[in-house]
Amino acid sequence: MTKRNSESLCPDILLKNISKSYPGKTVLQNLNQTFLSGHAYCIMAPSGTGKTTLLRILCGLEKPDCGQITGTEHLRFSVVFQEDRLLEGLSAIENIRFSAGKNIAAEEVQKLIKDFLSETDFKKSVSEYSGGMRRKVCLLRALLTPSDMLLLDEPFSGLDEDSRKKAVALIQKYRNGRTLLVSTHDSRDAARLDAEIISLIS
Amino acid sequence: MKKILIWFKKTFVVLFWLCVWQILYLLIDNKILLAGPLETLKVFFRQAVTLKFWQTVLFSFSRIGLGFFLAFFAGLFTASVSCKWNWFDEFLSPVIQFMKSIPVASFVILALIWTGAKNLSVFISFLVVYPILYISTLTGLKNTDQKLLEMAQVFGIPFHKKIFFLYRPALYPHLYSACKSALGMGLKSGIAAEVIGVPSGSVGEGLYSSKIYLDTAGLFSWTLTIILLSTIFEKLVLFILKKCSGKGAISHDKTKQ
Repeated sequence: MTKRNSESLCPDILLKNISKSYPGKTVLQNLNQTFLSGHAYCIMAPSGTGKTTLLRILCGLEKPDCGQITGTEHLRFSVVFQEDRLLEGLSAIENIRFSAGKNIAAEEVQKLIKDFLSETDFKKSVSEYSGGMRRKVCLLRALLTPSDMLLLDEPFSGLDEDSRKKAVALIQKYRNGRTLLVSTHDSRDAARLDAEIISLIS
Repeated sequence: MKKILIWFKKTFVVLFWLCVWQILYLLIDNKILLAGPLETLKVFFRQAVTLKFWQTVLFSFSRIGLGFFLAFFAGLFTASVSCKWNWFDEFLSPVIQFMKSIPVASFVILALIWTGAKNLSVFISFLVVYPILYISTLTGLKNTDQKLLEMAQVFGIPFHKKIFFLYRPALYPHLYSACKSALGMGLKSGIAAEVIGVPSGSVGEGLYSSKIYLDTAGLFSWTLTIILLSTIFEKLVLFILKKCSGKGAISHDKTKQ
């Protein structure tokens, strides 16, 4: 992996009285939370309770209606979105290198994804992949891109039990000390990742 | 096998209409009212071996082509600015509407007063092509997948990579169809402008002379020249465009929210 990942020391992130509403619905209300640098967290909450909104606020895609966030100013984020958000015309390797850039050679990516994809799939565009395969590419893209914090929004959806375990192992292997925040419905994921559980239900 | 069948079908259709044309020519039997296909081809080949013919073709097509490419790049640039700053689109909107609604003939007269006949077709093809390219480019840019743009923003993807992998593939289908219609329209308007302005040594002058001397075969021969060259021009531009289109984010996200 890259030098910067292993050396990255991101500051603690503090959320103070964060609230966010959409027309007709309040998703976050006076949320106070601290994310310690290098720790792993798992957000467990039912659908529609603000898991994705929280991740979007953290990486700067949305602004809270009120409240204060400190510690995210100069952070680089790697994200697995709830939807895949892959470049459909490109292969898995090309998609990973799109965000990872020159930090990682194509051969290295190929070596890493051998566990997940067969060699015949390497050259195919991701539009031909199954849902599970696409999810794995998203996860690898986030893990192999140099960053300070990993935000993974339901990264295991569409994966069978075996792939889920492999994905957890991959996260542990390539996390490189980065702060990790995963949203999931399954408490076993939190246990496997040795992550602190955050419940968004007040 | 299927390809050969399609080819035969197309050839048959063309031959059928050529026969209809020849029969009509024989029935009317008046060279001023209607020239036949064989006579048209004869005049065409007689013209095509002369240097003056190619100079005339070069005169008109280089100017119309210049107008097209100027409009193409101006459309791309101004639409990009409009996509970034909406006020610029609002600022430009009356001009685009004006260019779209004013008859070409009015512009031709105006251009004749301003610039003279020589570069008339550059101006006219620019005016016809620019609004089409501007609107299509702006639509394409605005239709770029917002979710992919968010992804690129979060991952800190550099601007040149966003252009290459996100905007360019999103723009391609819009640019392709815009170019397809703009090429034909630009060419037709450019030639029409030349017929009005009659710049010396242009295809428009050739068409005008055919009218003056009631040379229907000459008129058909010039028309054939325009059709052939516009087809080549269109295929060439669309081929280049296709080669530049890239293979990035052509389709939107497959998975459900």
